[in-house]
Amino acid sequence: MASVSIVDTHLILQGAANGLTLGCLIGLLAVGYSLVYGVARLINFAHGDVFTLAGYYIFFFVMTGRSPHSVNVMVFLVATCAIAAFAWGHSLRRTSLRLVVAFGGALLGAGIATFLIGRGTTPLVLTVLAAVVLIAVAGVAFEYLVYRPLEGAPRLSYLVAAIGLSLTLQASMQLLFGSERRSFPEQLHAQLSRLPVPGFLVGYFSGLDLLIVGFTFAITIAATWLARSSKYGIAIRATADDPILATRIGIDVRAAKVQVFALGSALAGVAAFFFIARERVLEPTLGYTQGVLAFAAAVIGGIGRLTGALVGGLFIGVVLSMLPLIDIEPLKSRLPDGWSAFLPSFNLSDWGIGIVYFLLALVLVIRPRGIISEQFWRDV
Amino acid sequence: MKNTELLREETFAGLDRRFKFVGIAFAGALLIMLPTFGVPRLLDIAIISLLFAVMAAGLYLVVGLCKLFDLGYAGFVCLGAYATRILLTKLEWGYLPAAVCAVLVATFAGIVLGLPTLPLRGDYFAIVTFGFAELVILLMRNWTGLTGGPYGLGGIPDPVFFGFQFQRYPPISYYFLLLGITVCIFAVVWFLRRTMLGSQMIAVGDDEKLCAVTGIDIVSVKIAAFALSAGIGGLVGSFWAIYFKFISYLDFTLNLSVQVIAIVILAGDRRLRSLLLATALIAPTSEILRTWLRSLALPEASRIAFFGMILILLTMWRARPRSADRKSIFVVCKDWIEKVTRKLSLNGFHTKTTVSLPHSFDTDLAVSGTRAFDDVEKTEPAKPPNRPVLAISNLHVSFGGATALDGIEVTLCEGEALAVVGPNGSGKTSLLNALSGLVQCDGNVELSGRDIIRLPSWIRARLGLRRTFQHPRQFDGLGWDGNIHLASFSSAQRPLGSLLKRITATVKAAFVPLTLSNSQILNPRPESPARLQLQRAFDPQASVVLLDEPLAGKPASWISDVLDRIRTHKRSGGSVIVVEHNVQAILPVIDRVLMLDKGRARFLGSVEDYLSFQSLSGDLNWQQLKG
Amino acid sequence: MRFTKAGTFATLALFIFLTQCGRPNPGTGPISIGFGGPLTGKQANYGTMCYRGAELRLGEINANAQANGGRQYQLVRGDDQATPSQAVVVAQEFAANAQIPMVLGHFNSSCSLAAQKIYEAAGLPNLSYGSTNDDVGKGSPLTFRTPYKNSLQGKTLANYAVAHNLKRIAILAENEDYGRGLADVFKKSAGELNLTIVTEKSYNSDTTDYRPLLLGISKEKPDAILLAGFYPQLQVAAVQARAMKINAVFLAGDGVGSSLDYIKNAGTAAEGTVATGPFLIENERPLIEGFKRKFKEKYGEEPDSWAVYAYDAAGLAYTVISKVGTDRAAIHKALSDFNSKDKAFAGLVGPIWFDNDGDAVNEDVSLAIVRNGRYVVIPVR
Repeated sequence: MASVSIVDTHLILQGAANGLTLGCLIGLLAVGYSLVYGVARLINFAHGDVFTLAGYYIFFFVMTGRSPHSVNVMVFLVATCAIAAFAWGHSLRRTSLRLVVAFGGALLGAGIATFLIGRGTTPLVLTVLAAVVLIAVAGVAFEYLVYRPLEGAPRLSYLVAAIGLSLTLQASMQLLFGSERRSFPEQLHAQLSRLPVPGFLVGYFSGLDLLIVGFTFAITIAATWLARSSKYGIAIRATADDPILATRIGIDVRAAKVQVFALGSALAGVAAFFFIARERVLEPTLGYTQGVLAFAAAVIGGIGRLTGALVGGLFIGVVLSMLPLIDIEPLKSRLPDGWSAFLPSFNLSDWGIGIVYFLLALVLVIRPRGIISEQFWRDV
Repeated sequence: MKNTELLREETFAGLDRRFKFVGIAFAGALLIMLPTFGVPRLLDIAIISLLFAVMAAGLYLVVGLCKLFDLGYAGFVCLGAYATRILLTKLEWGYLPAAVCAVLVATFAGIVLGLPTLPLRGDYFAIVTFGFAELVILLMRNWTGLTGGPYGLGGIPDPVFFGFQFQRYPPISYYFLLLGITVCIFAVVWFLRRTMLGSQMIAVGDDEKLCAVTGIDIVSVKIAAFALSAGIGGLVGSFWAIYFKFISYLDFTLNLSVQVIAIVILAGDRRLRSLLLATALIAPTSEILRTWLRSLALPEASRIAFFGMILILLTMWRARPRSADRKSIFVVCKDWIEKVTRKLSLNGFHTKTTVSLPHSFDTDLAVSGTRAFDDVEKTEPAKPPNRPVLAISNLHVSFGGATALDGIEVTLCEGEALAVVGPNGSGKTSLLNALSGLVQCDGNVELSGRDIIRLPSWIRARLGLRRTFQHPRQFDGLGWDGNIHLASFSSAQRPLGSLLKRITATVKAAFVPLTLSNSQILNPRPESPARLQLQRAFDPQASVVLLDEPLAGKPASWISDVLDRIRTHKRSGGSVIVVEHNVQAILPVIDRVLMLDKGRARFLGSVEDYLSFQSLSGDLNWQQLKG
Repeated sequence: MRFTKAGTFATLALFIFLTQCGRPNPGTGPISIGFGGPLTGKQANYGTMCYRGAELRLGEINANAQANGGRQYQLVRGDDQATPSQAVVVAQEFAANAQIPMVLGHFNSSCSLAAQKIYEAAGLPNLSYGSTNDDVGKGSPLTFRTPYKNSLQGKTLANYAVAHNLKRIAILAENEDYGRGLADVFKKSAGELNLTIVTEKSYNSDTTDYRPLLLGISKEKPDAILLAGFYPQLQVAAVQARAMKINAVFLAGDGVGSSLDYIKNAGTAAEGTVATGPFLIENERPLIEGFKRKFKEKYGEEPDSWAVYAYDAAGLAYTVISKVGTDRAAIHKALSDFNSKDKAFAGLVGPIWFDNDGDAVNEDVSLAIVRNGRYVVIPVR
């Protein structure tokens, strides 16, 4: 049948390790999906594109020298800062006052942009931090622009608007940043891969991989603990269950939604940094491909559950990584001659994403609450 | 009142007629003369617009009528295109059989996809259809032997119809073929709306809960709509193949589905003319933009950005909570044209277009033609008990942790009326919900000896169970008569059967024409929902009627009408369960009373026993609450 | 209602009358040559380079014409974004435009294959300056093609493998027309030369993580890996492979070999890659030097090898049109007349003449190895 060499445990372990890291990347993004769904009860189709935008922020901050594309980052920064500032000033009565605040926000955005774009000499940690903050601002801006006006509308309207937002973002990034693939400069990648690794893990994980795995687990556990135990977390969950009642108790539902959008986008920003650093790929359509994987992960783990999102991500990551190790080409030789030309591809990697889609559909049809049972969570 | 109403009706119809004539004349002449105009790209743009029109018509059935959000339409078009191409070149069929096969393949795919997924709720269904479309594309991409894989497939020949060889350049013959296809598809959809199946689709889109209690087989209707729309998609795909002469998986991505969805959303209401107008606005714009942007060397991305923003704006425009506020694109344009022509003082179009009359309940009686009965003061003599028709035992309903009903036990006989009373929150509506199947329950419920506790609502409705709602519900998309006809048709159908029989029955409903006039279908006037649901509930086929607070806050004439209906129903052997606070008013027609308190039965017995129980109980709190 | 009917018919008649007027007038304006290629999208850099090359040539011609009194030439853009269906739409536009007597297009094989049927139905001759798939010339009598074919690349690489004792070869191919085509012809040549294909893995243009595929490849311990695809993906794969301690020799097609970005982005991982490609820029012939200088002067950056092909294609188009005029059929015949070496067109790439299928008869494709961050041309045999 399918052949995976049992002797080559090394390869299988390598595949599993790769899957673990990949799964954490997907899982981090999936946690963002679950977070937003948990509170706002909407599937943020545009989450993947926010992820890509964060990637571009980081990329152009890290690159030295300015190009027409890097200057276009200014457009996004100014626009999102202005809109977020406008939203922030919602307590102010007069629209003219809010416009002034928005203008101030725009100036701030422009200032940060001018300082950071193309500088290349800022320490990496600060750059990433700045990008994460800025993408959180962008998340707030998108929520205000697209989702807030739809409050009270049927759920499908959210989905359509989310798709519209995703398409617009993707296309704008393609227009403003160019559609070619980009990577960090070589020195930076070298620098990142020189992080220390404990001896027994060499060959399976790089330093960066360990950082990714550690960070993802830490964040997920922290977020889950926060959601479950802290007063703030309970308030957020109350908002999700019954927004009207939550308002009566005195929880600011709107603020909760904005905060969770900001948080989700910030997580996407971190995920973006890890992704470009490890995979060395950045292109406008990245959000679409990674976003679908992350969304599937969130659903498989039970949408709305943070730990479930991570588990779903790990599941998909390992499956995708292990697929190429399964070689079913030999089956072709058992078929009569001439048949093989008419058969679909026997290369399982081609079907990877299809398997993910199929699993997604299966879970939604059979167990919309995810593959992990309620009881499991109560015992954990 | 009647006269002004008729006058308005006539002028509205007259306006309608004029618009229709002008519209059709213009459109027809324009379309037929199109190939002769000297504009260079006109024919190509027209063909692409017609393609989108047909796709929109197909999607209209699912998204417009049934209000299901289908994100995977491009998948069906893809299947149709590839099927046609493979049959035309590898098997050398003619175009007609290839197109028929493409339609069948797509329809089959639609049924296979629809069966497990149609019961899903809105956004989950959207995601699954999206996944389906992506899977189809992936299949096409990875099956190089059959579909050319990522290379795509070219070499699609021009079809030959009865010896006439089509020529791709200039595509005049293609244009007329597509024009014919468009007219046919729109005719089919237009006729479908005037049949019972069309009414059922509209009903499913309006209010699924109400469909369930009216006896409409929701799943079959959805499958029928979905399969039909898939078939139309397949037909579009087959034309796509022969026109574009080259197909690849990249042609059928989410972008295509989104464009069609945008058209349907823009159309707004369920009229076909809105759909056509929306297509006329979006499709040529999209094409012209494409050419214009390309000549500026701006990437396709700008067109996608444009569509994304359009989608967002459309949603915001259309997402008003009350659908009554939402004007269709057609009405918007018509109003705008009228405003402009009025300003230019061209011809005297009448200004008022919307008609809404205030209804009082007195006029309701006049309109629907029932007589007002005098109050009957005395109670009906108790009838000898007949056969039991509804046997409830050990009924238990709980939500989450809270128990709504516990251990309810009562048997209803033919010709009997039972009143269910009790304070708020005692479980009265939960009882009705459990009996009509809208809520999960445990225990034993038998209707005419048949155990119905595991049966869905619509089967119970077909077995003779009817109910009304506390807040009256109706199908807004259908008029008064539409509602009544639909209800009586659906509940008269066979209650049980295999899935195949159900779907066959649903398909047969497509051939049952509505015996209504055009204006009755298209201008459903706002009627009194309360009266409508009463009329619907007391149809001749009903055996057990469940009424939820029918007398709440209504005048005396109404009350006597309700009582009269109950009496008539009882006389013909039916039974009634009435939940009511206004016990005094309902007593004349009641045989027994069931009093609930916190989910438990506190009293069950005849009216006389109840009256003495009530005076003896001395429960002050309850006395105050009973009003 | 009477008024409405009368009014409608009157308006309709007027409308129809108006639309029958206004047909385009050929006149003596500039001659438009269609240019089909990926001006935007993932392969925009290729398309833009080629567009500039053609534009450069036409600019020279126009300067000449202004001095000597001849007609001007202009390029009409048709952006196909490297997508066949877009190419079809572009082709339809060009075909419907009676002012365009000839098309330079397209760059990608799949686009040329898709568009050529439309051109054929409209009798529009098309000259591809970048397609390498074997079927492009054969596909239509109106299609001509100047670059070499994939089979030539496959043969060259297979010969190199034999010559350097690389017996076991793994293939990493992009699941697209170019990648698959190159892989297929390489397999054929490899079969003839008794090389073993140990495994074949494929990826998509949006794959980012090649490690799973490379794991499968490293299992077989090949001597060499054929990189059959375009550099944006393969530069990442190369880096990942070296990181996984896969030391096999990289053999690549012109999707890698015609781009300097591969070396830039893959860095040390690119060292030792053996690639086929036009390598005209590296060849340092005097004619090419002149072209390089003019290109850099006008556009501020160095051209790539495909720009040379486009330059030549534009020159060929001018030669033909200035001789026989703007009739499409006449142009087709004139192009077919370049059918032997003595009648060849003198291009920067060398003498250009076509065989019966419309393919340019070519010498060997060039081979280069990456040494010290540069392509160094090596002899093919």
